[in-house]
Amino acid sequence: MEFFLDNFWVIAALPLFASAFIAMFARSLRRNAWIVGAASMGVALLWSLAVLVAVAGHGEAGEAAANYLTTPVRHLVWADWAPFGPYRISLGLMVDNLTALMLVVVTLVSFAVQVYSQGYFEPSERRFTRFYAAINLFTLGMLGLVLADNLFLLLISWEIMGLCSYLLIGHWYEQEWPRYGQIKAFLTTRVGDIGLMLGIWMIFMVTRDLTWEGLAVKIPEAVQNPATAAMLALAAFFIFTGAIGKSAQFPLHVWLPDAMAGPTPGSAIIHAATMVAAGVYLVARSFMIFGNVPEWVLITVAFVGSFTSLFAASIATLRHDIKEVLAYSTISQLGYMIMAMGVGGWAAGNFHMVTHAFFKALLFLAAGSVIAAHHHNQLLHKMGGLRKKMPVTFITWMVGYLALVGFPGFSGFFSKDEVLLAAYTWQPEALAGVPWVAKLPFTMALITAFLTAYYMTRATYLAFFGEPRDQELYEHAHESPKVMTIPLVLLAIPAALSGWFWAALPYHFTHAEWMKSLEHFLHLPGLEHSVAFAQEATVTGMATTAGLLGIFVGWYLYAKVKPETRAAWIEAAKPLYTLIRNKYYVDEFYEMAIIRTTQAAARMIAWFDDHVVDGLVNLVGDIGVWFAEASAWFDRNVIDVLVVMWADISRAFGSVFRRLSTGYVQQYMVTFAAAVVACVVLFQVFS
Amino acid sequence: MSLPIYFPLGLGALLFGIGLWGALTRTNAVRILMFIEIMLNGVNLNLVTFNRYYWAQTPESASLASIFTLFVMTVAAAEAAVGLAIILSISRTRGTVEVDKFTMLKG
Amino acid sequence: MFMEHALSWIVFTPLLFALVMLFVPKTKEKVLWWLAGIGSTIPLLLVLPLLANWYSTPASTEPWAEGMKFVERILWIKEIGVHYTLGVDGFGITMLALSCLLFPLSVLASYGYIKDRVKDYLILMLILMTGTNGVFVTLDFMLFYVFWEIVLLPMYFLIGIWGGPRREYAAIKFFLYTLIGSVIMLVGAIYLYVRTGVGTFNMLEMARATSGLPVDTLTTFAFFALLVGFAVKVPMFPLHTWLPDAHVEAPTPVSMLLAGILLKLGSYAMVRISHPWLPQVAQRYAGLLFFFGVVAVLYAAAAAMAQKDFKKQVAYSSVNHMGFFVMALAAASVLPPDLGQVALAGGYFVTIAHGLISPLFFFAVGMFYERTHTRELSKLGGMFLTVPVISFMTAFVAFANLGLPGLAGFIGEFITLTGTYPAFGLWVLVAGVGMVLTAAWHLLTMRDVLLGPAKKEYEGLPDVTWKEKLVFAPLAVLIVLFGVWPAPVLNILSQSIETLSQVLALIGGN
Repeated sequence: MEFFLDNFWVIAALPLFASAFIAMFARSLRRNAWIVGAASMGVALLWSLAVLVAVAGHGEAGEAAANYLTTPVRHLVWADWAPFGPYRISLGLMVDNLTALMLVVVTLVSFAVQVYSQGYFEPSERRFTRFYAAINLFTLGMLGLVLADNLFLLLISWEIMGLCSYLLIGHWYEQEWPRYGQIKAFLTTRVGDIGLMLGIWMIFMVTRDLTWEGLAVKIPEAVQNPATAAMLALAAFFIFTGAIGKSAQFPLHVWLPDAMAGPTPGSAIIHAATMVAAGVYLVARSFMIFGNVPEWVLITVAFVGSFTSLFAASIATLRHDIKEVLAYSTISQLGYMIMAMGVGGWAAGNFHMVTHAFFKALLFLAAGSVIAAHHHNQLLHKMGGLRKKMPVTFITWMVGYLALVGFPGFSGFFSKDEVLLAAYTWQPEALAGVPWVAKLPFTMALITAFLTAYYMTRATYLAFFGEPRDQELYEHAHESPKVMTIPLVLLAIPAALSGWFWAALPYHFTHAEWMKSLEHFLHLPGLEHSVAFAQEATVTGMATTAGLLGIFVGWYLYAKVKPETRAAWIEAAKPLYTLIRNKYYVDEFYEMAIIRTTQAAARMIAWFDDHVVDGLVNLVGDIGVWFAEASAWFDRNVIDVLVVMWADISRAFGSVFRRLSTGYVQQYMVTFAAAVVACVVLFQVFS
Repeated sequence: MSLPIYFPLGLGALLFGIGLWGALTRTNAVRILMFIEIMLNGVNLNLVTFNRYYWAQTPESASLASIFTLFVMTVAAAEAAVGLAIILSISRTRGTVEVDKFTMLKG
Repeated sequence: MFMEHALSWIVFTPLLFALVMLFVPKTKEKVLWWLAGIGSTIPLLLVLPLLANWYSTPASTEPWAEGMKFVERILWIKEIGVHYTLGVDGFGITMLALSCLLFPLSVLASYGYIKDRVKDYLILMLILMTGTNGVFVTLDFMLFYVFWEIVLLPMYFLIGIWGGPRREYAAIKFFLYTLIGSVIMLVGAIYLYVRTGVGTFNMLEMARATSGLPVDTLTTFAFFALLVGFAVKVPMFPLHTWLPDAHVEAPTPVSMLLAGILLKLGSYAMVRISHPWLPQVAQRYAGLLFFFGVVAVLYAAAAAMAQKDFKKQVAYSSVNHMGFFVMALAAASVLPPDLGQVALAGGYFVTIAHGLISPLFFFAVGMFYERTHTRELSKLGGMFLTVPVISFMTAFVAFANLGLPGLAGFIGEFITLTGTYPAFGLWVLVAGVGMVLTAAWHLLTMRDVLLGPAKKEYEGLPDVTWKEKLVFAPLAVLIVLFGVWPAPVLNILSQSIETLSQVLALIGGN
């Protein structure tokens, strides 16, 4: 086990190799590319499991670590990667408990997706190898993100994932929607990325260091100075904007639903399980910044997260496209994780990130199975009754469904409980005077729990239960091949059971409360909180009640109430329905306020450049030309006239004297003789 | 017994006058050329006369005028050759040697 | 023998070949192409041993070449103290290597593309190479000026004869702009020569004399005179408008050189002349310089976004990227040396990365133009389905240009702003907005050109040729290499950057 831990870099090297190999030999590999991808990812998965076991064997994390950072179990550094004057940006990889856990999550989901995609893509698919190369490159990015020991390497991995996300959304770029979606995704996250970069620049200015270990030492020192602390708070806020972009939080959530234009397996890994969780991971990893700076930053984080979860969940209730429901659900669940970070539930947020990765990837792949069986129909109201046709898909979907709604015993139940508990016990000092404000995140999260159960029940009912709504599609529906159902089962196991994972950790036996082993495995030194059993029981009770209530309402509305009655109710709440159905008009607002404005500004600047700046240049040139023309005029009309005048005078004389030359030789001779005589006479006279 | 100097000088002047008259009144280029030769001969006679006349007084410049005369004769020969060649080519291109037909130099 | 005069050989070999080619009849095109190819490749082969021996060669300690390597010196004009002095430091050798790499590639890119008056074209190319290489190695201002002007004429003819429909306008605009700039620059330099009475035009000795001058009206004038001369070449907003025209009209290989080398003459001259000579004035006006840099980043990005011509967009992106360099230089003028080094390293890395990326981008545009005979975005489309390999290359270089991490373009920009932030604070956000806009127009252009359904009229276009792969590969490899491992470049630069940062911070033994 220690061997695997010592050589943990192999895990990141494998997808890099696979990606390069597939890209290079795409022509000869063709359909076989999946073997390369799945095999390398399988090895990476086993390797990650070995690393996780080894790390868990090292016992509790971070005993000797600094403020808000666990001590890495293994650390590889290439120090002289980029020397900038006296400072160095090193390329470093490290493994600690959180990383070890994330390695398994990423490789497992990636492995499942790579096996699954082989069956998902039609034989006629022409960009099969492109998909596999991109997925492997993406996996490299995500692994690099969790392994990075500094902010810079994290940023690079972060952007590589952004590129892969762009490539995968635009997989079918002949169509309009993918082309729209991919640009929207890249640019929206890019806005957040600029914030993240700005945060990094600010932090570098204060600490001159970007490694987690260096920051953990220097940030607490730096915040002693109030001015620096205020600046670091701003830096933390900007870093958080990066997370807002990547994790699709309000107000930068708009790209994720349109990211669904890509192939479903890609959505499963990138836009559900891993990449979008990178924002959460970023906040978790840089908690030495968030935890040390003034409190308003974490309060902002908590409110953004909780508001987003409620906001997205409300939109999800009215979506007709099965992938869109899942997309908004993802935004909502990411809001949970962000909120958990904000309220100090570090372990809870990470826990939810892990379980969510499993069950949401599962739901997406199951949805993909339904879509593939349904001739790429994604609309819920054309489905129905599919449980009989697709039993394995149905069962695995139900596992994911129960995990997501937080049904007791399934993984989501535990993690969501932890998140809600952290929100419930949140007592920020800054909000001590207004306790009801401090309770808002929890309240919103609780409503979200209800809405989540409702919309998932609605989607499940519409897809799998009831009578088929489109008979023809139903007739053609069939269970997916084994290559697709096996990954579903593979993911269903952790989706159901990963809540119990903590029970399996070695130190569980030394602690009576087994839930506490989570807190021990994912333990952030410096962040302590204890909760009373009463609080825990209260929260569990409330959350479970909300979830069951949501399930009941959803079932009642769609199984019992007649469609006509539903329509009447919708009519009664028309304004609210229209508002939510149009996603609160955020897209329209951006279209108007940002895209149009930018385009207009760009056109204006181009005009300015062409006419004003360049006009000035041309004006200078024209003035030169005018001056030259004026000189030429002067030359022609003044100087030349003078010259010509002399010529004219000469000509006038000439025209008189020319009469003398008649051309008769003898006349000349007479003249000559006369002149000689005259000369002689004159000579005689004057001598 | 010596000839008075007026005789040869008068003959020379007569020759020059005949030559000048002929050169100005004839229109045939060959004739003009011949009259010019007569003018030159008149001049030569003058020169020889003065030579003989001054020889008695200044023996050191005895042959000066004779040499000049020889030059004039040589140049006259050359001039006649060139002049005849020109006239020949004119007659060939223009078909006439009448000088009042040639007014190309008219201004 | 060779190593002592390596720089002279690098500079004058192309000129020698140009002279030989004068005597080759112009019908023997094959011979001409070979001669031009060899003549432009020899300097590349010569510059490699210099790079290999870089760390083992001690730097000169003579006052006229302090910190320089591979120096040469011969007295040229005694009366005013002009020497033929050559030598390179980190700034020079990187640019020299870039120039020696790009010229053979652009000769190769011309092969088959330039079809009329081949002899004239190739001879001009080689003369141009002598000019640019000379600028990067000379240490004497008069010699520098001579090379600087040598660059001008071949470029004028290359644009004016082999250019597009508005070539005369573009060529004259280019010529006048740069000529006026360089004359003003000469005035500034001569003023400083007279004012200090230093009696030599050696750049380093002049720097020692001029950096002690007080900041008054005339030194300020001299600084801006020098700066304007260089800013035209960079080109710095608002002196940039010759660039889009020149690029659009120039043939592809000339565009590659224009973006890759010509612009770097300006940036190199700034770190070699205007800023080391008058750091005290530079410090006073750093804010102004930064303003022009940051505006260029945003302004050029927005202007590029609104263009309808593919090549013009790429031309504007050059203005955009060189803005980062200007920002870095301004920041280094006001920062302490340690942070100044970060800014300078980033800024200079931007110029190197841009020297690799933008020629490739122009080449990509040229590949489309050669096939479709249009550069209008609205007429292109669906190229990924028509010419997949070329489209892949274009996408690669577009991502490199928009600053994707893992490729060379990102590192420079990121580090530049890391160094600039401490100097100018949140103003860097303006550049940040520029970066978003840059990403936006790249993506929109890729959508318009590469993606979408295949167009009927472009069916059956030939995909990439071997020649194009040969041009593409070296630059692409370097872009990736420096993107994932920038240390080789940064290490060569480090000593020069340290010296310059101290000069700019007004520290050091003058």
